[in-house]
Amino acid sequence: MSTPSFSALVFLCVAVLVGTRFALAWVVPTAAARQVEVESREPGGAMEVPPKPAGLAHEAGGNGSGDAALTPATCEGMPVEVRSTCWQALARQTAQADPEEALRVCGRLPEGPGREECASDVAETIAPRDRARAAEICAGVASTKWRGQCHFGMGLALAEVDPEAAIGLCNSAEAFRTFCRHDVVGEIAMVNLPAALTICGREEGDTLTRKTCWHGIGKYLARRDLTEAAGACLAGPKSWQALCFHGMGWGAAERDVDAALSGCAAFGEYADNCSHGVANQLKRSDPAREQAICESLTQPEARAKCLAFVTQ
Amino acid sequence: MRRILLVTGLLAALGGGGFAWWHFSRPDPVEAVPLDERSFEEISQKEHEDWLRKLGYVD
Repeated sequence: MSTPSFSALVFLCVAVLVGTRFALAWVVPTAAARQVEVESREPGGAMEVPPKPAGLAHEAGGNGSGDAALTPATCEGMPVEVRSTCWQALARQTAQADPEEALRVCGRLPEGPGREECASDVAETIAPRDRARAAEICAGVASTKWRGQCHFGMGLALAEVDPEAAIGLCNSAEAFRTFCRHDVVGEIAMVNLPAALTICGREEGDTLTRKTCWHGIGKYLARRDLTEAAGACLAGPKSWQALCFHGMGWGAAERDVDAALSGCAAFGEYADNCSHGVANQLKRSDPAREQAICESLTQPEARAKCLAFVTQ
Repeated sequence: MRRILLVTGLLAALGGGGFAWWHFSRPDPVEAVPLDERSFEEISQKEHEDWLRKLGYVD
């Protein structure tokens, strides 16, 4: 056999090395798999999960339960896939009359987020009449997420009865702290506007925290009445009025987009901020209209911000 | 021919060993924790602002 050339030798070596590299990558695909898993857990995914938007007790008409009367036997008789939901509903139903029994019901759920959410619901339900016990329950929630949600829920539940305590609870709402301040101050504004203005007027926290405070007042009041909301926004500092009007637009658009837009048009220098809020609220439901509203804005800053959000 | 096979085998073994060493010795990538599972302090200002804007809490 004749001796091959040096080039052939190099080529052969390189081919073997490259082949070995891909063969190993194929045989041991862990690296690629891990990368996919990491990408799927990027914060972008989590950002789709909204914080709890409103207190359970508020949704349920204040009695802590909007469910038909349940019993442990009802839940036990249910198919496995809906049994956890049943235990959770039963716990909410029981919480007002007997919080400890409600927690025992939560204990029927498998350990994890479901059980923690259940305990959080119990705390929220009892917060107005037994704040200390509710705080104990929240402190006992193991995960950061549900401990934060628990304090957020307590804050919402106390907004009407004790605004200062309610807003204070937001400091323990972890990732939801700013969301909590926004929603709690909004709830407070609905029943006690001076208290809400006082809280936001203290200008506590970083810029984002302060911004969302005024935004909350505008949004919550506009869900009820746009003119009332405009009055509240104009009662705040000049520097935050535009932001408050944005919240107003968002809140009004939740009820009626056309009415919101025609209402916004009457607010002079803040008309664009208000319409910007309407546009943002349409992002998920009607992106084409969102874009059209953004393009109609005349204020350069609001227009640019609005259009930038369209493509996000 | 035997020398060629020897050199090729040696290089292949070196390459394969090097790849295996690189693959198994590097640290596991740090998995990103979803925003809502972090504490307030663990969320950057930018992440916070994007999250708030997405959900209609700020302009």
